[in-house]
Parts: sequence; C-alpha cells; structure tokens
Amino acid sequence: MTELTISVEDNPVPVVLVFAARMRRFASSPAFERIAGRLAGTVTLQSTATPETVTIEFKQGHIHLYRRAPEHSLTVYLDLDTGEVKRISHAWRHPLMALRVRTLMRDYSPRWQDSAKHFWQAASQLQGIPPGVKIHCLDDNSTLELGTPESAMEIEGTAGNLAALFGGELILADAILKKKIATAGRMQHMAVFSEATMMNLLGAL
Amino acid sequence: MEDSTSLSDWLDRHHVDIVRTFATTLDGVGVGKYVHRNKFASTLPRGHAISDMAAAMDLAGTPHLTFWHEDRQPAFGDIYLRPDLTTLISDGTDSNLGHCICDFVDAAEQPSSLCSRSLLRHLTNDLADRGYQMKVGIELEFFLFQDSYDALRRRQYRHLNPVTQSHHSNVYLVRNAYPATSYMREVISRLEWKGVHWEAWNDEAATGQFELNLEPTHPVAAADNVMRTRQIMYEVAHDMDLAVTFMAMPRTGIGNGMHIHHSLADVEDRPLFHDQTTNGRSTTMEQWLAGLVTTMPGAVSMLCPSINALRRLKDFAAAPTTSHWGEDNKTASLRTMSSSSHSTRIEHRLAAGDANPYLALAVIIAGGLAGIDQQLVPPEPFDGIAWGLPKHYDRLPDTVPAASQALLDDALLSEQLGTDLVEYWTKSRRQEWLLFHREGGDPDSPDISQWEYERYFDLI
Repeated sequence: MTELTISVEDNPVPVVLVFAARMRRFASSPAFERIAGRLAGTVTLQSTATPETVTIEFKQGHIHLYRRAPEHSLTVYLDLDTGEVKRISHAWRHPLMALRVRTLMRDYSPRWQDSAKHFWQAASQLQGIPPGVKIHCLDDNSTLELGTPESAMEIEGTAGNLAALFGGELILADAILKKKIATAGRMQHMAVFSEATMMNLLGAL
Repeated sequence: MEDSTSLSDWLDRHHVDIVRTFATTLDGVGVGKYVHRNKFASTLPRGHAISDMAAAMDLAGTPHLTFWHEDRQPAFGDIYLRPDLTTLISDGTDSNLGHCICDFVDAAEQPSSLCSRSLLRHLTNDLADRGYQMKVGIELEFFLFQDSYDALRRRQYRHLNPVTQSHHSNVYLVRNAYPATSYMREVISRLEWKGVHWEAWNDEAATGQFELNLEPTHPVAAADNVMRTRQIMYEVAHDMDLAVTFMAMPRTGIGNGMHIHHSLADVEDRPLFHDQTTNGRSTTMEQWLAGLVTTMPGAVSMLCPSINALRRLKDFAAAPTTSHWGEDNKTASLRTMSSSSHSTRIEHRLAAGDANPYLALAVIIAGGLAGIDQQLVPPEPFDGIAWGLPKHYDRLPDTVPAASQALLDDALLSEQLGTDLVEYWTKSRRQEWLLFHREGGDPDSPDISQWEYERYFDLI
C-alpha cells in the first residue's frame, strides 16, 4: 500500500486547510487509506450555506486540494458544519468515483478518547494552555484526565461533540457558544485552548 | 485644558455637563461613555471603568475568545479609559457636551499593551529621545451616499446612490463636488469648532468619492484628528439622512485610501528631510525611506487591516501594489517630494481608509526608525509606472495570511512595535479571515460581499 501524500495550493483558504487537515487525520485509518489510495479523479465539495468550495484531486495515493472548481467535476453539496451530503451533481459522468467518494466521506475519526490524547500531546506545549484538562462524556458518564489534575479545565459534552472537538472539527469557543460543549475554567485557558482547537482545525497544531 | 486642577473652571466656562469619552480599539473604532461632569472629574486621573470586552471584541461584537494577551482581564472585568485632558473640547453643536480622547489603562494606570494610542505615543517619545519630531498631514478619502444608513441597511447596501453629478470616474470636478457642499459645510463647521484644522477638500477619482486634507501636526494629534473627523462626518451624515463611509472598498474599482504625508524636524523645528547639497533628500530622509521600503510588506497588515482593504491593492486602481518609492511618483507606495526645504516630505500611499490611524502611524514610525537605527540605504527610485509590472517584481502581500506572515517575519517591526502586540494583532486578523470565509464571503467574487458591508460600512 502506497502511503498517502496530501498537499494544498498556495495561499489556501480555510476550507482547503480544514479538509486537508481532515484527510491527514483520516489517513491513519487503514480503511480510508485503502480507498483513497486507489482513487483517481477529482471531486468538488461545495457548501450549501456559503460560497466555500474545495476541490480534491486523487492520483495514485497523492491527494491535492485547492479552491477553484473545474467545470463538470463531480460535485458534492454538503452542510460543512455537519458533513451531511445534500446532493451530488455530475454523478452520471463519474459513477464509480461518486460511489467511492460517498464511502470516503464517512467519518474515519478515532474514538474521542484517542483524539483527546493525541490533541493534548501537541496542545499541552502551548504557552498559556491549562496545566490539565478533565473531560466528561455525557453519553456514558466516563471521564478522562490529561495533564496535571490540579487547576485543570473541565470540558463536558456528548461523545460525538467531544470527538469533533478533539478531532479538529470544532473550535472550542464556537462549540461553547453553540452549547455543544460546556466548560469551567479561567478565560485565559479557554482562549488558548480555543486557539489550539482552531489550529487543529486548520492543520497547524 | 492643561491639567485636572483647572478642570472644574474649564467645564464651567464651556457649560459642559457631560463629557463623551473616546478611545480607539485595535480595529480602529471608537468606544466610550457619556459621563456626567462630576463622575468625569472624580475618576481622574485614571478615568472611568469600562469592560475589557470593549477593547477585545471584533467589529461584529464577537469577543476575542480564540487568543489571549496578558493585559486582558480574566473574566471580562474592567479596564479604564484614562482621559488625555489636553484633548478636552466642547462640542459646539450640543451645548452641554464635551469630548475627551482617552487611553486604555489598567487599574494601576499602566497603559494597556493593546492600546494603539499609547503605542503611538511611546514611539513618538522614541523619536523625541533621538532629537526628532514628526509632522503628519493626513488625506482622508471617503464615499458619500444619498441614502440614510437605515435605508441602506434595509436594502442590504444594494444600489448605493453616490452624492455626485457625473457618474463617470472623473477627478477634481467642481461640478461633482457641488452636491456635497452642504454636507461638507456642516462637517467643516463642526471640525473647526473642535479645533481640527483642515486644508482642502475635493471630488475624488471614484464616483461619489471625496477627499479631505487635514493640516499637518504631530503624530498623536494627527491620529486623534482622524478619529474625530471620522466621527464628526458620521454624525453629520446621520443628521442629514446621508451615509458616509471610510470602508476601504464600498464599491468595486477605486477604493478609499488614507495617504500619510510626513517629515521629520529637529527639536527647534528645523526640517531634517531636505539637503540642498544633494538631490534634495538628506541622509536622514534616505535612511527613513529605506526603513519604510524594507518594512513595507510587514506593514501591509496594519495599513490594510481587512479583507476589504486588501481588495484595494489592485494595479491601476490608485493604490500601490509594490514597495517602490519614487520622486513625485503617485503609482509607488512612497512618493517623495524633495524640491523645497520646508515642504520636503514623504507621502505614504498604502494605508486604506479603514486603517486604525494610531497603528498606521506606529508602523510607519517603526519602519522609519529601523531605517535610521540600521543606517539602511534605499533602493534606486522608481521613475516608471509601478503598476502592471512583470512577475519578477515583488508584489506586496494581498491576502490576510500572507500579510500577517510578513509582519510576523519582520524582526525590525516586531522590535519597535513589541512582539506580543504583533502576535495579538495577527491573531485578530486570522479571526477576521476565518469569519469572512466561514460566514459567506467569497474571495473569488469581484463584488463586495454582504458580509463586508455589514461589518465595515457603518462602523469604519
């Protein structure tokens, strides 16, 4: 199996960085790697709510992402916040590609606990980050403590929202304002933690 | 007003019962309160409290929740607006009202590192310590529209009707200026009452665009005058059911700039930029100029702070696109005028109409000082048209990430402005950039987006 390589155009816009980061995270999944490694073709993902567009070229294990959409490309219209596919156009031109892309768009995220540990490994190096974090999952009442438990920041949410938060799909401040995640802790810690989740979203953590 | 001891007398003599305080956020908008004179006096010298959110919030009211600075308060607690009593004036139109410009300080009266006015004063003091004083004359470009802000908001800023006669992009047309005269008469009346001295105004290159030239003064006063002028022009427009905007690009084509003419003098006011034994430019001026050229890519972020401002950096659209300088060259970023000893100066042409004037002047002084400190030598002057150049000519960064990176990479600017301010500023720009894309802005569209109008049109 060829290892996937992922690149982006110069001066990428956020949506390109976000999808490149997602591809890099998913690349650790053998199922994703197997499907993406075999794909050859181009797919455009178009937000149904904003003009955000990202085109992804698959070519022998290399994935390249850029903003502009080529004409007549297979286009998937989706809600970028939830990942829900609304419709697909030009599928009749690229039927096999359309089928494989649908498979590829499944969630290959690891469990939230694994994502949180991976996230913390990088985020704990940032200046101003809380010394520890206590995470509480509402679904099964489980907890996970990372770093120093004293003066830790508390984070609470469903397994899905915790997976999204630590998996680079949510920015903490947005998640709090949208009531997807609850936190307790100092504002400085929350701001730096939010910055870390933003960097993770953009693939820069 | 000179000091707090004579404050009561001053307030009595000017019949001022209420003082409107005014401090400028990093984004370049005014925040403050209408304060009873007793409260205003009793809180001196530190000034009245205001939530930290006022200084740490973006233009759409979103607090800066994804980055941090040590000078922020832990839970949106109070900071203070310390009045600069030398700026206390009476309104002239509202008979009981006075105005005072303030700095952001903490409980111990220490200036906030996020206060752009304090930063500019600090750099101006650096200049003075070296025996220099700076004179700054600012040209403000703006668009004036025939509809009220309410009306424009209701129709989502579509069909902007410029106050103008011709719908062609002429410039200096007296006939185009005439429809704006009643508005400008009132503006000028209020400016003069408040001690903001002006030199000229005229029709400008875009349809419905005008320019007002303010009289040269020292840097902090020049920036104060810009903020006062923008506020006065907004108030007059509001009162007359018109709409004025300093938004960099309210329409496609030519946008609003803020051209900054400046020169150095010594402590006895003798000009330091002219040397008649050479080409007219002194060594001091050439080093200053070299510092500005060297730091120009890094300065873009503060001089063109928004996505909307970066749209202005297009060839043949009156804004510079490279860091060239040239003698009387209006296509370059830096236009020198070196022929006479008393008017030898540099016109810095990069700043957009929406720039925070304190930050804009700070980044210019930082660049100029770096040039003097490092004894830099400028490149040869550019005497051609600095637009439409072949690809091997370096262009200025024209995206938010590229401009931020250029600023972060500029050690000379960071040294003068402070690394923590530079980092905080670039993170605030990242928030602007992210929100633009995630909330509906289209970087490929030549049209100004609804997001930009709603964010910039009324407030800047």
